[in-house]
Parts: sequence; C-alpha cells; structure tokens
Amino acid sequence: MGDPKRDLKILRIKMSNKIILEETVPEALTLLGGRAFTSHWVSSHVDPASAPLGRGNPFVIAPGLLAGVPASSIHRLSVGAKSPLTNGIKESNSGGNVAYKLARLGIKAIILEEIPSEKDFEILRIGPQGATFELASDLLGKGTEESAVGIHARYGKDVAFMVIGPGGEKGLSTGAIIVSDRDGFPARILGRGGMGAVMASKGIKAIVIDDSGTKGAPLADEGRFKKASQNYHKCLKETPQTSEIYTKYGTAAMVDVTNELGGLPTKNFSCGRFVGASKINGKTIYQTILERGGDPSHACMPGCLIRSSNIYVDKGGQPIVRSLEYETLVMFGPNCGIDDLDELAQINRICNDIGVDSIDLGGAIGIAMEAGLLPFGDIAGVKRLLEEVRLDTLLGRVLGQGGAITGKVLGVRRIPAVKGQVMAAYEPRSIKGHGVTFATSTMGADHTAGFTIREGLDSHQKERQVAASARMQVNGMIYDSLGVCLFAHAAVRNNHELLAEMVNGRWGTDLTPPDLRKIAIKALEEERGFNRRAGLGPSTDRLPEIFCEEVNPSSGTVFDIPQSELDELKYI
Amino acid sequence: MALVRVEVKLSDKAESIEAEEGVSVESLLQKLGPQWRNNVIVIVNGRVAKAEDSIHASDRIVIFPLLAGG
Repeated sequence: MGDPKRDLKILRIKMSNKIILEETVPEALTLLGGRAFTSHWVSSHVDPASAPLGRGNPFVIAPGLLAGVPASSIHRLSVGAKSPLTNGIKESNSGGNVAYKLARLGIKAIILEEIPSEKDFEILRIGPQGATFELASDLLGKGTEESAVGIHARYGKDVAFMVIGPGGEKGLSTGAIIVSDRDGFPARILGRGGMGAVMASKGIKAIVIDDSGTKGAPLADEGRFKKASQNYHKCLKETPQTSEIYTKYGTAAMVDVTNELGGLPTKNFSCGRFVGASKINGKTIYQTILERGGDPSHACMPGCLIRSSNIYVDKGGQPIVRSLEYETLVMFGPNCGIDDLDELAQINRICNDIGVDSIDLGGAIGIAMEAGLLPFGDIAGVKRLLEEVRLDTLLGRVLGQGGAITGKVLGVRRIPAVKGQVMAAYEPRSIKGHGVTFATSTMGADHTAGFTIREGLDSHQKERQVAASARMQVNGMIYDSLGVCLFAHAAVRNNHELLAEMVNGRWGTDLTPPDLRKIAIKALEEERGFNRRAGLGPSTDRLPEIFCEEVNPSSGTVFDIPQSELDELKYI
Repeated sequence: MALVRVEVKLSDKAESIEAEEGVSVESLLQKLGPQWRNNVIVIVNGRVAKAEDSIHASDRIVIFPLLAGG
C-alpha cells in the first residue's frame, strides 16, 4: 500500500513572467479538495481588498478529493477566486472530464497568480511532461464552440479543456468557463460569479489537459476503496431518483415540483407558477428527445451511473445543446415568459457559446422585460439582447454585468439578487429554506450551496428553515470538496460513512463522517471570514426587501424569516 | 366514503392512486412501493404536507420524488 499523497503536486504559475513552479503539497492541505482547497487558498493568500481582475487575485483550479479513480459521479472540478460579481469569495464547480484528467496527472491544484505584462491570450497546456504556453491568437474572439473545434484540431480529440468565450474575454462579471464533457464537447459550465473573467484576466483563453500515457490515479488501499465504492454504487442503483428519475428526466424533473409549490420563478420572480410549465418539464423534454433520436440520458463525466445530462436535438435530430437543464430552462423560460423548448435550447446554446452564466443573464433579461425594454415572451428580443452581449455593445455590457447591475441601470425595484448574484431558479418566498441559503451563503444567491427542498419541511413555513439551510450548506461543502455530484445525495443522503470510506480507500486515511463535517465547517468559516474582511458583513446576508414585503401570489407568502435568525445561522 | 384522487408523479408507470377521505399522509405513503416511502414529497394544495396531516376530497394532492438539486 503506497501513499498517493506523496506524489501530488501544485502548479503555481506566475503570469507576469510565465514562471511555472511545481510544488509538493503541504501536509495540512492534503485532505482539502475541490471547494475546500480553492476557498482555503483564497482566504489565506488573497488580500480581501484586492481587485477581482487584478494582480492580487489568483485563479485557483482544484479537482475534488475523490476525482480520477473509478467510481460514479465523483469527478467534479472546482475553480475559485475573489469574484468580480459578488466582490466576495467564490467557488464554482462543474462536471465534465477536466478534474478526472488532472487527478490522473497527480495535480492537486493549478494556481494562476499575478497578471500578464502583455495582453495576449494564450493556451495553457498541461500534460505528463509539464506545462507549456502557446499563443491563442487564432481563437481570440471566437465562441466556445468554434474554440473547442480549434483545440481538438491542435491537440487531438482526447484532451480535456476549459475555455472562455467573448463574455470572459471582455471581463464581464457573468463571464463563465465552459468545460469539456466525457466526449470532449464544450458542454459543462463553471457558470457562477464571473470566473471566466478572472481566467481572462490571467491572459488565458483555454487550459488543455492531456493525460495520455498516464496509468491513472493510484489508490492507497484498493480493497477498501472497492468495497466502499461497491456499496455506493449499490445505493445509486437502488434509489429511484439516481437510477430512473434523473436518468430519464434530468434536472428538469424539478419543474413540476417547484411549480406545484408556487416556487417556479415566473416573469422576473413576480409569481411562482407558470401556465406553460408542462411544456418545458422533464417528461416533455424526455419525450421530445426520444422522438427525435437524441440522448435523454447522457453521462457528463466518465463512469457516471446517474446520467442526468442530455443531448437535446432539433426536429432533424441534430444536437442543439448539451445539456438542457433546469436552471437555464427556468431562468429564460418562465422567468422570461417563454415556453418553447426548441427556442430555450437555442438560447442556452447561445449563452454557452458566448460563455456567460445563463442564470444571471436570464435574470438580467427578466429584469429588462419588467423594465419594459422588451415584452415578456419575446424570444426574438432575447436573442437580440444576447447578440448585444456577444458584440460588447453598451447595453450588452450592462446585461453582461449581471442582473443586479442591470436592475440598477434600468431602475427596476424587483432585483432577485443577493451579494450581486442573481438567484437560481427557486422562488424564495415559497421555498423559504432556499431563501435562507440565498441570503446567507458565502457565494451569493446560489442554490447548490444549501439545497433544502430534500429536507421535507413545509417550505412555506419559516420554522426550522435556518437550521435546514445550515445543515445543507455543510452538506454542500462536503460534496463540493470531494467532487461528488450533488445528485448522488438523493441516494447517499447524509450517510457520509460511504463517502468517508471512499476517501479512506483513495488516500489511506481513517476519516470518519464527523471529520468530513469538521473539514467542511472550517472551509465555510474561512469563506465567511474572507467575505467579512472584504466588506460583506451581516447586512449583506439579506434577501432584497421586496421579497419580504410583496406577497408571492402563487403561494400567498412573503419571506418572513427574521434577520436576527439569519445572523445566528451556525454551520451544523 | 368519498375517495380522494392523488396524482403520483414518481415514474412513467404510476399516474394516480385513490385514497379514502380523511386518510393521513402517512397511510397514503403505505400505498407506494417501499423504495418511495421515505423518499417523496407530498404536496397538498401547494404546500408540503406532514405525515400526520389528513387529506380530503377537495384537496389537490401530488406526490413527487425528493430531488437533490436542479
């Protein structure tokens, strides 16, 4: 039995002079992966007053702690930095194949520091022989689809990559990073918080990962890992959500649930039920894809059993987007008054190609609709506005800075954002636990940071929602740090013994579930500490006032959880 | 005794079940397969119901799987 921790390395790259340092991993960091790593690094190395797109803000990339070894749904990738959108700490994570390949190369993290002296965009290529830079002139200004074709032409079909589009290149606060999926298509999104703009500030258009010739990530105790992963897989296979519901209907299965609760954001979060919900729900997507010969059950990362992703195709069977999912579907669908699946798929594709966060852009355009810039339901108008973002017009730049800025510029009172970040597609007045998470999460209004619907509380009631959010915020940190897909939670629930045992088999440790929680709570406290030092005090842990005053007509409720309770939230 | 129609949106197979007027949510859940008993959200008239709540003929009741994210 070896110690795989000894062979890990951190790549620290100074972008001012392109010096690449390969460092061994300090003992204290060996059990930090994914979000726990990125947030620890940012909170302990970054001046909270630093400019998000300046030399003092590093861009940190870290695979989850379990990534790279053979098991389902454990290869998620985290990136972190100070966010240009929230001005606080940010971690964004995605599926795909980058984390898998980084882990196979023995890379614990990549840290891009400082900023380049010249503003030429480059490609950072990382392989078994080390890291190199190449000019990206031919990809500059290109969308992520065309960029991906260029990357494969240059480096071969088997590489993984992270790439930005015009949104990131122009420094938009909604600039996202597109990540290759299992098949090498630009399909997964590090969407939230402007991480694409931070990557661009380092002069990097794409990061290409080539793991050819590697033997795979080692296991400290193969028998222990195999036993644990077999139990984990059994759990995934025996749970209907992870063996059937997500597999068939994907994340869009959530549409019916939130609509029934009056929690489906509709027409700029003015109500929570949408008459066209059945036209865009999971069942309709599944049937449409099946009829047209697409793939309703696609795995975004190697070895995934859940396969919640899809390849949505047009009437001729040609792919429109990989994958059409709940958040984009709702933020541009009900939130903008649109119920046409094919058009929503096209809009999703445009966002991905520009490389912008479709949650924040959907929010921004919903706000623009409320302001009267275009009517709700105006599909052509939405596409025209997205083209303005791509072309970097003044209006496009306003929208591209996100919903919070757009709302201020256009004079709209109902701005569904916290800490500058637009709420994900859950109405906080009728799903109050999510409202607590939106308000108090270190990330801004982020649903994955503390997903409370599974807790089974009456979501219209205020009782016990703060505790539920706190519990799920810790749970979210555990998953984000291990690199485990949140959808596996439907099967694993809070049985962290399974996950701890996989970690122990992978790394030769003897962690217990309380150890995982302890690591997660420490990471959350580091994030909160960074935000406080950056000026994001308790007064920013609030929902916009209008959600506390204006009744959601679909549920008859307001967000009425007292501010004092939000301030007392303790991670448990 | 009046019957209550319950929409079950758990899979392609089961679309609806019937239950007696006044039955508790907990009893209703016994009608589902064992894999679902602690694994669903029961929404009565737009609100998440508790196990001890009783349901009535005029109620709109929908049962969904508990999902972990979206």
